[in-house]
Amino acid sequence: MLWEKISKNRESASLIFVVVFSITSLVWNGNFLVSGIASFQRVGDFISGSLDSFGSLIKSVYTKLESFEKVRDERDSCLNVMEDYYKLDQELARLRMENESLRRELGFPIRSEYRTVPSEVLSVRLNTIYRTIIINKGSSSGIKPYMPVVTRTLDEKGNFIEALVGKVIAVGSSTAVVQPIINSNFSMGVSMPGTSLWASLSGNSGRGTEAVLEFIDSGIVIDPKSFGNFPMGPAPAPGPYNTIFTEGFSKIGKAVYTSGGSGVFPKGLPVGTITEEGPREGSFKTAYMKPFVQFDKLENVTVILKSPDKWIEEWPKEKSIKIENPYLGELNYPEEERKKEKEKEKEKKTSPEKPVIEKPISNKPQVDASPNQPTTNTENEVEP
Amino acid sequence: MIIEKIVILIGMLFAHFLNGSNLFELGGSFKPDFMMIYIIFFSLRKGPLYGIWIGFLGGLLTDSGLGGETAADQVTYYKIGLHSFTFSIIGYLAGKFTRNAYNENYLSISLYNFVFTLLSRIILYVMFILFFHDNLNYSFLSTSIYTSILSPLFFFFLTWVFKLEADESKL
Repeated sequence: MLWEKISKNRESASLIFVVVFSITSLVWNGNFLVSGIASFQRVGDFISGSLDSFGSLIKSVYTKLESFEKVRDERDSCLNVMEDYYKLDQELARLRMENESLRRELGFPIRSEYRTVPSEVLSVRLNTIYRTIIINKGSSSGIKPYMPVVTRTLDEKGNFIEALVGKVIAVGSSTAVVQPIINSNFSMGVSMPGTSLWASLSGNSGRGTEAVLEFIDSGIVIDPKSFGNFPMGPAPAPGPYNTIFTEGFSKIGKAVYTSGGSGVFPKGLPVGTITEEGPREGSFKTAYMKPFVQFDKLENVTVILKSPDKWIEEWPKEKSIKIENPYLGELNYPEEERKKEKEKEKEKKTSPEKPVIEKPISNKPQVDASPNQPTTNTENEVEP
Repeated sequence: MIIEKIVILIGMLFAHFLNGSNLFELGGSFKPDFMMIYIIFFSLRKGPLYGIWIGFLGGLLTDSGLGGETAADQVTYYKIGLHSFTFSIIGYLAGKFTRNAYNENYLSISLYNFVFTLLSRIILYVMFILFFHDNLNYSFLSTSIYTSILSPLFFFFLTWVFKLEADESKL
């Protein structure tokens, strides 16, 4: 009977089912059925990664063929100028630069402090409503949630650095989900360049591949060409010389590093460069920041095996204070009502003495101690 | 009949894998939504019932691709239901209300794909804010335009693969 009705109204029944299922899954988003569906992600990302590698194979073949042609041209031109030895100087300069960058690289603090796990990127999902990166290493490699993820890239001066990608937010046995710094739910503390102050980095910038720095102290000059017009936001300064600050104050193009204050990321990891001053938020300034990492070209990352620092400080037992008879009632409990209740309790305590009246009558008249009770009738009658 | 549905499911998986790959990316997270093209194609050709179920299953696949997020209480929370809800609604709307007015040509395919992709992204955005948090990074127009430009090509490819005539939508 019910099945007949459903088969007659298949469209409505299907629509009701999918809507109810979806809303239930969204509200109760940690149940076993949802977890089962989500496990398909690994298969999907593996095949998507395979498609990518197939595409990149075709691209690389084409690039190599193209590069062969370039090499041939270069060889011809080199033969013509071989007698000139100026190339030796160029080579020497190149080697000097390489040597310098390698020396800098050896001085990376993060490598010496924490163990790392290199990993390949399976999928970069920047076009979805919740931006994530899937990598091919998981809990079997020692990766846990909230571990920082970095990658090797170039900074604003062309030097090799290990810049911040994001943090691990979920781990499977052989895959992990990384939340990039341009995810709308990402936030962390960063140190403002040239100052000892911090700002809050948020991925919810409203710009494709940029993040926003919030809660910047209003005393920090970000762009000297924009004059802080509180509270309406940056505006060009009046007059022919449209700046009152020298360029030395500018934070535009300067690198931003992790503050290390959150306990998740190590201190001093390069994050990105400030590109533009944003609108004011109350008494604070904001600025847009371009990450060092090019997320759409990300192929390899390194997970730093650093668990979060101790987030909640426990109060030592020896310093604990014991209060005898603590008042556990409501804080705004009226004082007068408390007094009244105490009086009532006293009355209740005294009331068990009343049954004394009902004791066997003695020769003397019984006198009650309570002031409200009138004296015995016999006394009243005697007085007049 | 069953083979047809299996082939449709395989096509859906292929659309999901294409969405996960960067083959058609133009840089700066500028990618088309192949799953949306697939859902609109079957909604217009086969009707609202196909639209609902292909939208639902395609949405579940897309939701699974979003991954989980482990919170401070060490419980992993997923976003299952977000795309499945949106895509099934879009599949139903496309199949129910626009199927009769649909005439297959380059312009109409692009227009229908643009409107429905934009609508789906607006619904997704609202749902995400309702159930999760604010998200300023989600692109509406760029993806819709790119999807609508590529859609005629994929419509003709899908017509050839599934041997579906354009006039079938009127039957």
